[in-house]
Amino acid sequence: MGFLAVEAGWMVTELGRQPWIIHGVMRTADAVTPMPGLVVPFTFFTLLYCLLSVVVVWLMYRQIAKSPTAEDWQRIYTPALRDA
Amino acid sequence: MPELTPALLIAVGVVAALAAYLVMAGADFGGGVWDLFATGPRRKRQRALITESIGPIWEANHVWLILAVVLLFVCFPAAFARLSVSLHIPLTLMLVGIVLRGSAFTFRTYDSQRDDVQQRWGVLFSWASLITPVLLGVVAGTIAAGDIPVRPSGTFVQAYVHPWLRPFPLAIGALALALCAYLAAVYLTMETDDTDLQDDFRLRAFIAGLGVFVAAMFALVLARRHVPLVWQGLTATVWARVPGGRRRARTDHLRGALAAALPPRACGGPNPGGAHPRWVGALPVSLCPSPRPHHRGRRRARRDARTGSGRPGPRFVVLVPSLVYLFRVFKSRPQRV
Repeated sequence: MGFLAVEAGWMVTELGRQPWIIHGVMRTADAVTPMPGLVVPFTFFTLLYCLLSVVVVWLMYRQIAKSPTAEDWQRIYTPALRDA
Repeated sequence: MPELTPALLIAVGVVAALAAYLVMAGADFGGGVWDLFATGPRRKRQRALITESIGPIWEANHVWLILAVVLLFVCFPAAFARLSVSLHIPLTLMLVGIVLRGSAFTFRTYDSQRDDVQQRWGVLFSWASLITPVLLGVVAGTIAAGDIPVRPSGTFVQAYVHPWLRPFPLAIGALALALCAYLAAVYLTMETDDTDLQDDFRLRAFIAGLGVFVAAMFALVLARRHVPLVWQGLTATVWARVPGGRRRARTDHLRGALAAALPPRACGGPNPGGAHPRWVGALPVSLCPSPRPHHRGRRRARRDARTGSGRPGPRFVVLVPSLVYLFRVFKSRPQRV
């Protein structure tokens, strides 16, 4: 949930506010680069960020899968039990 | 002496921010390069030292790049527009390099399992570290060469590839890479107490220093043939002596430098070269301002004055103490008992 909130907030500030335009002076249409073929970087960045999100989820899963079980915790944190 | 205008002061700020970026983030890029070329019996220890010295500061270093971009964007919108249109491809690739490098470093460093997966992130991190400074140098070289058109024309390749895919920008890319590698090796020598590792990185610093020299000389030779503006700027200063050239009096050098400062084609378009103050030649050509402030620029300036967003002052008030604190926390050496 925290992740979602952070990402959503970021989307709103950047996509909604559009800090590169000026209200009434420089419109979004003026701010678009004249370079043709913009679909290429658009697709590339979309795929890149999708890939990165998948990787983050997968790495998180790895971390969780690796975390110690309840028994391990007991063994680590109660030396008396371990020595017994 | 050039006249001290706000534009000049801000331009100095942009250059200073870029220099700070090269000195701090550049060293991190260099660290990644040495991670790629870690060899010899102490390979693992070299990598561990690099990881440790990059630490959590690398993200903060990008603040300098952001500062430079924001200053350029707010204070020189015309130059920003030209650069971001013509240099779209290298700038985008550089951005991808920065993103991949940061992600790969984070994924590698904070992953709990030490296995092949981590190794692969390491490889990605190293390659991204190698390519990003090259692209940064290519962009800088293109700006210095000054052939960026006001409005791109011709085929796609002519308009968006040709300006930067030329020998001189590529040579500056190589120079930037060598500089980063050199900086990183020097810093890493200071970061460790292990004499073996110090020797390793001392040797690497020598190699990279040699690389810097070779790349710089190569760029100079290319500049003489392809970029007369840079060649004149470099050789006509009082500090430079033209190789094999005549010894000239100091004043002649100065006059030469000033003559070089007014290149006929430098500012292109409707502005005749003579209309600019003389210091303009010292700035990258694409930053040549038009003599009158742009209509939109004035309105923007008023808006900025209201909101305070255009002034760099407040940024520095926040930026500098935070960075000092960050460096103190993560970079101070542990107290020895």
